[in-house]
Amino acid sequence: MSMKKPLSALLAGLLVLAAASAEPKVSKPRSSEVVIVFRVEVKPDVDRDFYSNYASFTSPWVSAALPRGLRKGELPADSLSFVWFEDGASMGTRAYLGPAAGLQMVKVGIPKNRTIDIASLRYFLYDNSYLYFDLPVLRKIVVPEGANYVYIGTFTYTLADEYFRISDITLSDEYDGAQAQVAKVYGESARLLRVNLIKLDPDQDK
Amino acid sequence: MKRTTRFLALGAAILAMAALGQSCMTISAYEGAKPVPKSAYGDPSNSTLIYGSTVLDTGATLAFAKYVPLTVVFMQINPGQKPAILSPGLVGMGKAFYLAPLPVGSSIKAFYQTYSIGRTTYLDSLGIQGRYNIDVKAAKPGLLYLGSLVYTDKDGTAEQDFYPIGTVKELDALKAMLPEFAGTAWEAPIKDRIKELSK
Repeated sequence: MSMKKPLSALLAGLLVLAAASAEPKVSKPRSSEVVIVFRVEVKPDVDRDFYSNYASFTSPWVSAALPRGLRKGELPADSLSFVWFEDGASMGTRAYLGPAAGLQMVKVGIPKNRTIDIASLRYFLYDNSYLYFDLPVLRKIVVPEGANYVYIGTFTYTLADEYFRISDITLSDEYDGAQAQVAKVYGESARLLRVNLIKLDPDQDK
Repeated sequence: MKRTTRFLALGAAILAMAALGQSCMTISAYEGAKPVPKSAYGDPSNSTLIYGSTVLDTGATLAFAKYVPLTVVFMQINPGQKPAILSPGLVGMGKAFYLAPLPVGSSIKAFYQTYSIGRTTYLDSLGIQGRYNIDVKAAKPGLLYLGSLVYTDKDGTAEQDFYPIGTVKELDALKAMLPEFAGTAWEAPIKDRIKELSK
C-alpha cells in the first residue's frame, strides 16, 4: 500500500506552518495531549552544496513562492515531517515539524489506549517537497498516566550511499539537554519523562 | 520505503501536455525548463544516449477511464557531474522516450512522474531515496537501453518499482527516435543498432 496524499493535505500543512511561524509562543499541552521530544541526526553529511542546485525546484505546475522569512537567494533549512498512528489505526497522521536541526517537540492527542505508533520521519533537503527521503522508526510508545511530555531519544541514521539508503540506526540519550530545552519552551513546570520505544510488528502494514 | 505524493493539478499547461501525450506529436527532451537543441547533444564518443519506454500500472483505474502516461522526470545525482533536471523526449505517440545525451559518469534518479486518467493529470513525487530499476549510471559512451518498463507493485509488496515487463520493443523505440537524431552524430549508431536488431 503506497501512501497517496492529496495536495490539499500539503496545503493544509503549509497553512499550519504559516500559522505556527506567525505565532511564536507555544501553548502548553492539554491533559489529553502529549509532547513527544526527540532529535534526529543524519550521517554522513549530505552533499548539500550539490543538492542546493535543486533547492528551488518546483514542478512546472506549482508556483515557486519563497518560504516565509527568506530573502531572494537564501535557501531554506532542511525540514522534517513525522508520521504517527493511533495504535491499531489504519490511517496515519503526518505532521510537519519545520527545521530538522535541533530538538523536536511534537504535540499530539493521546489515544484512548495511550499508545502511539511512530511509523517514520521524512527528511526534506532544503524544505523542498521533492527532495525527500524517509527515516524509519517503526516503534510504539505508551504514554504514562499523567505525562504530558515524553522523551524518546536521539535517532542517528547512517546513510549507505548516494541513494539515501539507510545502513544503520542508533538511539542515544540526551535527556538532560532535552529537559532543559523543554523547560525553556513550556515553562519550568514541564516535566519530561523518558519512555521506552517498543518494536512494532514488522509485518504490520504501515 | 517508497512513498508517493499524488496530487491533482489543473490548468491550461496541463491540458496542453495531456493533449500532447495523446497525440502523435513529438516532445523534445528537456533540461530544466528548456528543450535541449540537437546542436547541444553530446557526442557518441563521450556521452550516453538513454532510451526506453515506461508506463505506470494503474490497475483497476483502467476500468473506468483512459490512462495516459506522460513523463518520468530525472535528476542527475553524481556530484562530480553537472546538476540537471532531465525530462525525456517522447516519440512514437508517446510510447518511447529518450533523454538528451548525457556526459559519461552521469547518474540519473527518477524523482517524479506524471500521468493522466480521464481529464485529470496526476503527479507522483517519488523522492530521492532508493534506487529504482530505471536509475542508472551512464558508465559507457553510446546507446543505453533501459527496457520497456512498467511502474508497478509487481509481487504484491508495498514496494513499487519500474520493472522491464512492458510491451514496447527496443526496435520500435529506436525507429521512433531515429527522426529526432537525423543529422546528428547519433544517427549512425542508432541505425547500426536497428540493423542489428532487424537481423
